Amino acid sequence: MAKRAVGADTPVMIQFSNVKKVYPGGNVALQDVNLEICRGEFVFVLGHSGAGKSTFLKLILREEVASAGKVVVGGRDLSKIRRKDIPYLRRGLGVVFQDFRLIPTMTAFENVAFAMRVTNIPEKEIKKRVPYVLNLVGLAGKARSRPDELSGGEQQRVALARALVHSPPIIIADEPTGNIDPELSVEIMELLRAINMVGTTVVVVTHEHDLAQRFSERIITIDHGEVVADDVQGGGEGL
Amino acid sequence: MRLGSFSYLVKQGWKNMGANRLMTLACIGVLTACFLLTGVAVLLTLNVGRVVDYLADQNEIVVTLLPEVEEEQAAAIGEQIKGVPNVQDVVYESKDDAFNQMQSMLAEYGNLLEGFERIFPARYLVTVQDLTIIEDTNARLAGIAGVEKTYVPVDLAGVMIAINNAVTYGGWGIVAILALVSVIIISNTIRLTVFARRKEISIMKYVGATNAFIRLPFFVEGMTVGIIAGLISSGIVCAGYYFVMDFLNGMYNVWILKILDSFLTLGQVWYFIVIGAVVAGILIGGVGTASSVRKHLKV
Repeated sequence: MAKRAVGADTPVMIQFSNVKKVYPGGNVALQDVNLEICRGEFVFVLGHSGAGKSTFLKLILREEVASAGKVVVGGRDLSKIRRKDIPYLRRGLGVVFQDFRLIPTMTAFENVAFAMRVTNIPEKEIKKRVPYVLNLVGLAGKARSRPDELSGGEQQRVALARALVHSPPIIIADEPTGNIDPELSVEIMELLRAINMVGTTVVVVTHEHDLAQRFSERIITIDHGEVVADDVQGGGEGL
Repeated sequence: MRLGSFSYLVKQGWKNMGANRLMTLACIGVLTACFLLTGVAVLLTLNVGRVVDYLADQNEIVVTLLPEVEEEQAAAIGEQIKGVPNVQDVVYESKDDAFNQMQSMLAEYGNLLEGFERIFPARYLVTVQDLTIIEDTNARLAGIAGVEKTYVPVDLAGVMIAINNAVTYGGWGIVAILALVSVIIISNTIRLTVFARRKEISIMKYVGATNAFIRLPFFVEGMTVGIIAGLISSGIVCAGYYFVMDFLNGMYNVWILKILDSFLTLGQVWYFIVIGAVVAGILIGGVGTASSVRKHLKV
């Protein structure tokens, strides 16, 4: 089983054991996937369109269930998790999507605050924490802007702020630079690196090989539903 | 759920109404139109039913007593008539009453009846509760000692029964169909509004919102739309009813005025209309919205 050369006692955050996913209709999206991602790792999951990256993510988010094998995230076996517990699993995962997925009727502040409200955090705490996180991603002055008033890079920063607001142990980014300019992509990746530096596990799913080579310590390559390579790099480009 | 979260979600529901105002207006419009049709059908059915009841009440069996029956004996027969099942009301007309009635009918020729004061038989006018068993009731009345003959308008009773059945089954059937059509149209409109916001719902799911947390604003939105539509439609129905009754009352036609007496007054029905429409609005709007959201919660 591929595993990064972190300390032997470093807790495993994401574990795939003999995972297979077959969609109705017989399309095999993933097969025989075995991997472990430990606390504090910065991992790129690389693959072409249709390679199985999205299914990999959907399994971690428990949007889909593995047809065979076991997926464990943050110590929870996702094949055994009850439907009503899925929201609580997701609160421990900060997710960033290619299309940002911001609620268009809410301001940047409200979009980030919403992620806190769903966990019943008091308003006083929200008013303290959200400006802090928006400041972290460099959007202190855009708190009152709606998504359609922000650039692609800024929208992705809001999404990142939303993912960070709970200080989750795992951040998952699905093609986070897919919809933004190359120079802004670097900024987003640098932000993810900074988040990783404080101990957060970061998993970036992308098809951009160059970006992976430039920033990653570990690249897992998926092709036709199988893990074909799991390489530990030299530590990527520093900040 | 904390009170702060609850009030946030309620406010969010109202805010969403403004943000999606076109769909909100479409929902209110459709719901109002459906409630209007249903409300009019309910009022028509209720009133036609009351008119039929009124006309049925005019339907009576005439029980004539033998000429030799005197007042005391007639009173005893009256008691027996009251004891017959299905008898609702009994009115006694003595020989004198019958004579006086005949005399007044003949008007200036009334003196022709002089000397015939005692030939008109005393009679009872009997109204029944259930027209469908009027023949059975008639047979029992005819069997009472001292009764000479009974006159029962069986054909008229048959017509009344037919009208009553048509109103009961047909009228309420139409109301039920209209209500069903309303629910289908409304649930489709609500589904459209929810479908337009499916992306928003999936985002909420990804950040860890529970189903209850996502549903509540939609539920508040649906209920508010339902209440507004209920108030508008019941207001229009009440105003329309007031004007129709006013118009009919102004016609000065004896028959119409007689029938209008049996109609429900606005004072008797306004609260029924308003409460009915608002409760239906809350149920259809709230439950319809919450159940339409369910499909999109499986993310």
